[in-house]
Amino acid sequence: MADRLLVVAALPSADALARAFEAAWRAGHQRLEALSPYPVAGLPGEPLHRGFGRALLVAVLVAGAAFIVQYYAAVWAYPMNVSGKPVDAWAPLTPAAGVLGLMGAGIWALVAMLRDAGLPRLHHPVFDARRVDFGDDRCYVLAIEVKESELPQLRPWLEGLGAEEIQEVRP
Amino acid sequence: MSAAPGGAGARVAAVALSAPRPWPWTLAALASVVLLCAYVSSVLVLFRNGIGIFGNNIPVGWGFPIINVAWWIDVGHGALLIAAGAALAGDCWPAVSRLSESVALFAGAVGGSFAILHTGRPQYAYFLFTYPNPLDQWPQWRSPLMWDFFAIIAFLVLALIVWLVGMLPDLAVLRDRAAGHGRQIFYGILALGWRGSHRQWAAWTRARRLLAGISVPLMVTSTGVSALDFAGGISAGYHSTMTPVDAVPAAIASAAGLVLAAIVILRRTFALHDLIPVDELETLGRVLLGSALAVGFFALYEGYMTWYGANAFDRYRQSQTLTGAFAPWYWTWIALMVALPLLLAWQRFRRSPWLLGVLGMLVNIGAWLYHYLVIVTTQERGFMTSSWSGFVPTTWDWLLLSGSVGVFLSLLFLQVRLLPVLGVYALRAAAAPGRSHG
Amino acid sequence: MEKQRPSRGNGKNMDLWRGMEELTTPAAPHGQENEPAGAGGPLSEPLDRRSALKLMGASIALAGMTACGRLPQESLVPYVNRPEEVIPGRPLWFATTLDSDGYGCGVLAKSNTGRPTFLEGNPDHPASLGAMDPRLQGQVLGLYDPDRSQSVLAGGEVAPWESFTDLIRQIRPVWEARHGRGLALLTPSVSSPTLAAQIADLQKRYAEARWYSYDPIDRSAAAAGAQQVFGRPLDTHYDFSSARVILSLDSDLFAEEPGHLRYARQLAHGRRVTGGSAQDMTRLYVVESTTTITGANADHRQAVRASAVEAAARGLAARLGLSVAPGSSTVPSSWLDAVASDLRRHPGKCAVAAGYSQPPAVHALAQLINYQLGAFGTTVRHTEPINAQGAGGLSDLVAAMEAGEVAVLVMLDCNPVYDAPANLDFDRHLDRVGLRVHLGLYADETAARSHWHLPMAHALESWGDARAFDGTASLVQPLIAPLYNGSTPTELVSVLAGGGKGARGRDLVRAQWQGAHGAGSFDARWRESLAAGVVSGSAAPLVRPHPRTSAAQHLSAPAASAGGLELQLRPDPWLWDGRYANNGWLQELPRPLSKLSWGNAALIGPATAKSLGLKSGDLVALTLGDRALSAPVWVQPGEPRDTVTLNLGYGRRRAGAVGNGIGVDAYRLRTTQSHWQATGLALKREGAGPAPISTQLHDTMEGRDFVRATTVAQIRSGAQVVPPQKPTPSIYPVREVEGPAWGMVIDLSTCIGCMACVAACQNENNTPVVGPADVARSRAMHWIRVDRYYQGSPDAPRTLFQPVPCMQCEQAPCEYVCPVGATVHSQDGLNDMVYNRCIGTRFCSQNCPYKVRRFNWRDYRQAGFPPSPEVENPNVTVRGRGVMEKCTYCLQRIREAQIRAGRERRSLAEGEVQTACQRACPTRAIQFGDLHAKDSAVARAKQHPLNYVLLPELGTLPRTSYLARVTDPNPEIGT
Repeated sequence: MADRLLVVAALPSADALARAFEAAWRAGHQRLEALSPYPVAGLPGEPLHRGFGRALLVAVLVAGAAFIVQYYAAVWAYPMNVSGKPVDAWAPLTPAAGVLGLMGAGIWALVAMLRDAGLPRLHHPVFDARRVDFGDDRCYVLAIEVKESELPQLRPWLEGLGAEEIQEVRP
Repeated sequence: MSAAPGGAGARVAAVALSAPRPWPWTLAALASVVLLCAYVSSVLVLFRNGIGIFGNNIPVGWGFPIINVAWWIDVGHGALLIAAGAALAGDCWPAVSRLSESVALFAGAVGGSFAILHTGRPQYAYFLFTYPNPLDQWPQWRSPLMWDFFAIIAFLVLALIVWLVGMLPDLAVLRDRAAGHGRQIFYGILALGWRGSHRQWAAWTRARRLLAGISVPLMVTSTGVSALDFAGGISAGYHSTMTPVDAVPAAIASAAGLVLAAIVILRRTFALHDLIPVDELETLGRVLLGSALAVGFFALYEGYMTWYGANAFDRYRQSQTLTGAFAPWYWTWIALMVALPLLLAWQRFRRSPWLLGVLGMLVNIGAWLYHYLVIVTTQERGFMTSSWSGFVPTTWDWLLLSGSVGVFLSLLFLQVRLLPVLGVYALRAAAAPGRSHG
Repeated sequence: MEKQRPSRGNGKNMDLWRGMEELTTPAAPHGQENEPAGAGGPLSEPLDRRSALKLMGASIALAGMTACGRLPQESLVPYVNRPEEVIPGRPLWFATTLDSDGYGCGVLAKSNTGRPTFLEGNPDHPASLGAMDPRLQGQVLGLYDPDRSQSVLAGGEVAPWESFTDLIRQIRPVWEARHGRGLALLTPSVSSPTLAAQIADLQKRYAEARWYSYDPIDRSAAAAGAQQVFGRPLDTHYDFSSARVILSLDSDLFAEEPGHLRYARQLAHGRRVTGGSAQDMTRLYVVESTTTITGANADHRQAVRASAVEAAARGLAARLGLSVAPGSSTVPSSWLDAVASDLRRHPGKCAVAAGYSQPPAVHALAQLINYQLGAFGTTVRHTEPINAQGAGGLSDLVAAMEAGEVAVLVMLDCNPVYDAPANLDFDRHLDRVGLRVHLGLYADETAARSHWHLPMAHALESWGDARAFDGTASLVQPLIAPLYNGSTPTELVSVLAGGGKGARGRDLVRAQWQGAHGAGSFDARWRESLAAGVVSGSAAPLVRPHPRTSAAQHLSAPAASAGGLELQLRPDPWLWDGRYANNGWLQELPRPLSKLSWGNAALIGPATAKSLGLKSGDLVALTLGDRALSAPVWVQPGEPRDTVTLNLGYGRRRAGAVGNGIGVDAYRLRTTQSHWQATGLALKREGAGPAPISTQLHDTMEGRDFVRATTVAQIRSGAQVVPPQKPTPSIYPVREVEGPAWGMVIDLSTCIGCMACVAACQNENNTPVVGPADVARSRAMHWIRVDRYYQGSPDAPRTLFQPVPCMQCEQAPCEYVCPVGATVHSQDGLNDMVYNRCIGTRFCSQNCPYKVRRFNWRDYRQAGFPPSPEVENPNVTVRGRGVMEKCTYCLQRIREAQIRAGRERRSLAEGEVQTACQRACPTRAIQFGDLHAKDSAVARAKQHPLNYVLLPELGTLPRTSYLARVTDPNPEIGT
């Protein structure tokens, strides 16, 4: 990997970034990443509806588990005569199961996000680039990983896409 | 640091990092810390002397602490729903989103604390958990309190997740704008190494919406379950099928009110008028108006059903509420929570920040009175007339109530002091030329 | 609180011995005459040395005086039906006798490893028949009262007993020489044959010694009335077992008359509705001057001021053909006509009772009416006076003190400095007495004004005997050695009489009865009497007196009833004359009618309140002559017009930590002329004070049918009192319990609202005393309460009582709301509290429609009024702070019986388990048992057509149910 470089190109605007990303992708670059201060339209991303199904599944599983624990406790482990109700009266066991299921789905959503976003990852080579500054409202950056040999023709090509500044950092 | 000093990132970061604290801010912060101390000290006294220090008695077994639980938790629930709504509506209200997320978490936490403090033996609150024990003891699942216990836990966990996820990109902003090394590490860890790559944004946006989608049913369930603590009881005045449903709009109204008040104060104190446009306030004003109307509708509905149900005890309760001993509380509640918000039907009022702020606070006083009406007066006139008695709050009741406000405000001030108070990503998206948000 | 110890410091011994001369000679103001020459010098010299030794001895004695439960040396004889041998964990029961308002009442005392912990009525004793009243119940707490006097006090300084006995030995020769001149004895009227005999001996020995007796709650009017009619004082008591019509003339038959427990039982027999058929009831008419439970239970009640009762009595007498001058009666004449005809209809089966607070004339009239109706010997009985009285009363004593004739005053078991009529100024005249000796349970107001205070042994610590209202004698045996080295009156009198030093109470009592029974087979009888708790065949012989002819005419002319406000002084239902003021149970126990707790108040009727513009809680200044007292007002429905009723026994200054400064001291308005009532009372509003503390703030049922009531006539007419109560439908099947199903039925026809059940429950279940502050916050802890409702006009209301223990619902709303399962159902259908599991969410109480659950808001074992741990029932958990509690149907008794039965391999017998409230109830209104045992009384009662449950519409299926209240009003009187 010693011969691979991370080329970081700062672009003037969100649209420029989107175009550059598009172009680089067409140019056959596989390993590239577009950094932006906010979600920019036109950049690829999995469809938003993805994950809802799984969240629902998680919710159902957790709720079911919670219900089973309660039912086991109420009917087998600790069957008490409470207000003369049958021990297997199940309706009152549902509210807790329901809320716990939703809580499970929420936790799953967090975990899934971290996994998809590759977080937590406190340091990343791209941070070494000068123009990579999330504090900057206009930090539109395209990062492409290339072989050192490809660098000479890449620079002008990027400038052609409107890159204001180009910098190489070693991963 | 090449951003224009006027940029959204700079402005928001400055509030947390470097902005000079205007004297009203300092004063208010001090006041809230004083109240915080009142809370802590009265909790210590409570643990030492027991809940005899409160005004509770038999028949009125539940007093201020339970009112505070219901009140704060409801505010939290409502705030979570507002946050979810904002996220689902395109996540373009930076102030409303961030503050309602914070209010949800903080109010929920304060309310949750009272659920423990009100018990006679808080040291044994862990009996509520299902934990392995030599006595082979289990909780009693059929108790609405048990449901509420889980509902509050679920709500707090979700509120925490929503709050953290929502702040993640803005924490990165603070990380990259923080001056000192220590602060950089602090924010760096909180930001988890966020760099705003297209994949991260995609995953983040998805999570935001997913969490919002989960928040809505959870808020409704959790609010309903909290209301079941009363609806599940048999006392006339508690036992009402509609109570869990009424609770939802009431919760939204009080939350909208509190969030409005917070935003208005913040906006004025830190001169963020340009970042928090009046439109944003007006939107929340609409929410408040709508929920207040719903509260009014349910009040009418409740009244009709009680009369139609023709249960002697319920009707007696109703007569006491409408024209009898409890009328003052009832009508004050109607005035504060239903009548006054109707002002917002006029745009002039909807766009007047200070009025929105004042109204927001009044609505919350109304919400507290409503809980007093339900929780205390119901028990003062129970089934057995021989056991009728009154409830007189003690100094400790009042101290703990005001103290809880102090805890809430202190947390809010900490948020302002240390964390991003507005959604920077949304501000940037709004400020940026051209389209944003697919 | 004033500190008025005798101003005698170290020089007290000097002073005492200067007293010596006074002992020997009536102290003249400046009289050194007829003093034995040189008596002072030679006498005083050695005595000073001795007194120095005495003081040294005092400290030693004090160091040695430690209070701990020691078994007495004498052999005690357990109650026959109880195990003889001490088995740890198994209590012993002893039959003994307690003082009940001046007469003996037999009780069974439960002893746990040497500690008396619980009292029950002795079924074999005529005054108890197994029942209790709160005043008796509280005495077991009084035994352990830490404020009890713990040592001999000489001029306020601790001294050893010997110092006193030595002093008496010094004085005795002087008495011998002077036939006891200057020696005066003050006691309450004496029901103990032994003590009476001793005092008689003492007077034989010292002919000049005087015996005075004083009872703050005195019944001398009855004797005076008998004197008028029969020419000699006779005691009157009643036998209601055969009575059909009873008229009470201001007589609180069920709470204050001697034998009230027996009377209540007998009346209940005549009023219990057994089976569906409604037979005639014993009809009760009451004319009374204040609200009592007797009046509350009357079929017809007339509330008139005390001074107007005589007019009613005269009117009645006239209607019954007695030639008496009728007075102008405020009682409607139609009412009197109806009562008269009803009485006439039941000759020999009726009785007219006059209350002790009424003047002799009323008693005389009652006697004459009873004679006229042929009630003598059947329902009305006479005996020679049961109690021994001194020659003189308190006024005579004060006169003697004023005349300087009293050199030595020995006050036995009385507290005149507190409870003497104010006009006697007893306190001031005491200064004229050279040597003042006081024997009492407490170092009270009188002790503080005495040179010598001697601690008295509690009844449960002492040997003795007492006569009941009908003369039946019973023995007092100690269950525990005196905790505080106390002595009994008999022992003290024997010391005065020169009986050998340290005569044991037991020997004195034995000697007395040896004389009575004769030596032959005495031991057997002694043992039998101790075991049974009564001396068989000792009842006083009945006499059949005949009124002197024309006794009626000799009656004093009716007093013209003055206008204006009338003050009525009455004993407190629980504190009585104030002797129980330091008893936390009794202070906190709600009064039967007013439900007042921790303090008394000026009771006025609603009409009076309106005319005076007063409301409950107002502070008023009551002025009678030159005496004034400011008291809080309590508007009490049913009080007659223009009367102010004050309960005695409050405002104690030296009662102890519990009783000091509670309430106002009504004795300050009491004079010898107006002993019970006085006209010409001036009342002025002073403003609003702290409202009196009451445990029931709402008096009416608001149209809800908690207490269902009907009449015999309605039942006959087939009116349906209790509509069939069908349980509300449930989606769940009703859960059947196997094994016994415990249930309770409370008969509201016979419940008289006497509160005995509440007191017994508190004793049995270690219920804490929460104190005035928390009672005012509605935090009283009693597991069973007696609700009191009013119906009709506030001035002449109908009063309804309803005891409310836990309903033990089969579908208990308290259970399903507890998040930790701290209250769940046991197999035998009991609603159990698991104290260890409770975290105190209080949802169970919120969800209890009957509000019978009680919460430990504080650690009442530390804060408030902690009871002595010795009195606590070892079989009942002591609850900690933050824990919910409630009635358990005396679970400990159930399990105890089940374990015993299991050991003996048998099933539980009917009635083997009795709850504390059930045992204490004078009228047997509470039935308890196994609902599955079809033959059990409670199961049968559940089938009773009058059986109903509270709030059936809630579908809680209570195990506790009620029998509707049935009365039998006279159709001739419009209700």
